[in-house]
Amino acid sequence: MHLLDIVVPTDTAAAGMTVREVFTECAERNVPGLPYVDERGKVVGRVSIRHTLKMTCIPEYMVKAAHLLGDAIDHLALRDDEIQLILDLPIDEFVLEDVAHLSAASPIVKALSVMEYYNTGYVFLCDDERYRGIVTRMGIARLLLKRSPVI
Amino acid sequence: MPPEIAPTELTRDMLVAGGVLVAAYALIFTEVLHRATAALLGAVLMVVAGMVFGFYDQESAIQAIDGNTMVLLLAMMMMIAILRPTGAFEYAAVRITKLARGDARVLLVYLTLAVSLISMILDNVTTIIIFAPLTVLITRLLKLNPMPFLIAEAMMSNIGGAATLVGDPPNIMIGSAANIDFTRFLVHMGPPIAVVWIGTVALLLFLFRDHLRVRLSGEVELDERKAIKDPAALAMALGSLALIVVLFFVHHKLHLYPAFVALVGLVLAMLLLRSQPDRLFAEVHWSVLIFFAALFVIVGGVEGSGLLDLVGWQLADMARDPEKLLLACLALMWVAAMLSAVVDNIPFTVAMIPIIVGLEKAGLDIAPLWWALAIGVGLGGNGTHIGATANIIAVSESEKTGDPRGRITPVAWLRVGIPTMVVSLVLASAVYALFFDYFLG
Repeated sequence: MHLLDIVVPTDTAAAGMTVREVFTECAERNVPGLPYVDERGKVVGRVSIRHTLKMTCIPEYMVKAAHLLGDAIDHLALRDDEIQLILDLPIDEFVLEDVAHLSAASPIVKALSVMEYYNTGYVFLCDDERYRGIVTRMGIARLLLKRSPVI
Repeated sequence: MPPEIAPTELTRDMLVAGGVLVAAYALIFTEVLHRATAALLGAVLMVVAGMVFGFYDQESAIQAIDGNTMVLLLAMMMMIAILRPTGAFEYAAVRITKLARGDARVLLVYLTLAVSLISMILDNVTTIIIFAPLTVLITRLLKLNPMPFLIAEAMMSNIGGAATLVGDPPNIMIGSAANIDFTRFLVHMGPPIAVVWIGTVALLLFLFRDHLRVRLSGEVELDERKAIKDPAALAMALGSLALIVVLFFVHHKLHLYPAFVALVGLVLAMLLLRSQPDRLFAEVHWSVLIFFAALFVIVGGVEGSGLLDLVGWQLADMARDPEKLLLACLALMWVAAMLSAVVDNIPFTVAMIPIIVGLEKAGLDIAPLWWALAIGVGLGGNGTHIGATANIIAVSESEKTGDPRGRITPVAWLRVGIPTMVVSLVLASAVYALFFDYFLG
């Protein structure tokens, strides 16, 4: 089992890009985040859909009382103009500095361990600082199913 | 107690100890260092200075730490760590909101009453940490400005905490130093604080009248039943807390320290709920406890140098005349309040305690001074947004609302805080002066 078998190649995020551009790439590739690279192309951070949504769409006071919330709270939902505003924000504001990355030679068990350590569902695959793609938990689950099919 | 011989002149030891105290307090108040670090540095310097000049040593420093205060705070912090996950606070907040039946003014009164009552037994900071985000959500759901509610809750939690021995750390320190039991504290502080409470709520309703003059439509879309995840655990936690409260009322008759009483309830709760001690210890505010312990050590050194006795004897002449005693008490109350509005009231309280104890050596009735100090430090915190930790939490929560109207700026707080502090002090002073004999020892 090799990580290269399940890696999903994606574009990278960089300074100047908007939330919309990052979300579009993530949605097209079906991945939960992208690496953030500096002007030399080195991965220096990551952009996570979860973190970006948390910072822009859900106030902390709602998270704390989420278990009490009813369904008739439409007036607290995001308006179209607010959504437009969020998607046009520069992605730089939402870059996380903790980057989990592995080399193509890393075993799957190391990938899972690193994901647990960083409390994330994905890791970046880099060789000689060159970004190859993203490995997700879902990809690993698919790989396990492929290796041991139902007889 | 017969009067002792008065110290008359400033000695080298007093100057050294006073210098360390001033330097440490300057570091604490200017926030150059974290207050716990600053206090620890001051404590170490005081012990070193005391050992070099011979007025203080390590044993005296350890004895200066008030074990009753420290253990009581620790036990109540752990008790809160047990109660918090039960969902009782959330349940109460949502239930209260529904009971207000769409009247914003009634909602403000109910919420402030709830935080006041909880703050009489539990730490008011924790009460606000739990209530403030819920209040923002409730007000957003009801399309109200959260600002009046956040300010009112913080202020009324400070006032509620002032009523009891365990409601506020300064009260714990005063009660422990003056050997005042829970019931005596409540009986003396309860009436003035009740008057202050009513007056302050009325004032807040007036000051926020434009925000509250709305009839709310519809139910608040929150289900309080989902707050309680484990009813059995809640019952056991509340039962243990009830035992603590009952024992607080009789601890002096049983010759038990309030700290021991709190420990009894805590141990019972830990046993009944099979609580993980590591989780409870992780939720203890250790930096707060270390800060208090270090302050005790610093002030213990100043006491050891004789400086506080000297200060006490100077003040004693002023307060010896019964008529002047009332004036001295009111002066102490207002000075304590003014200082508490701008700086942390704990260092002030810790420094004042040995001075008041020293006045007793000068043959004075110091009982009314304890109540004046407790009222002053308890009410002064409402003056500014930095006057109490609960205020800072309310301000911080208002900044997360995403609504500029709901943001509590320092000026917005002052507009409400100064009149509230002055009115509450006037009311407390009036009750105190009218029934001054009641506050005598």
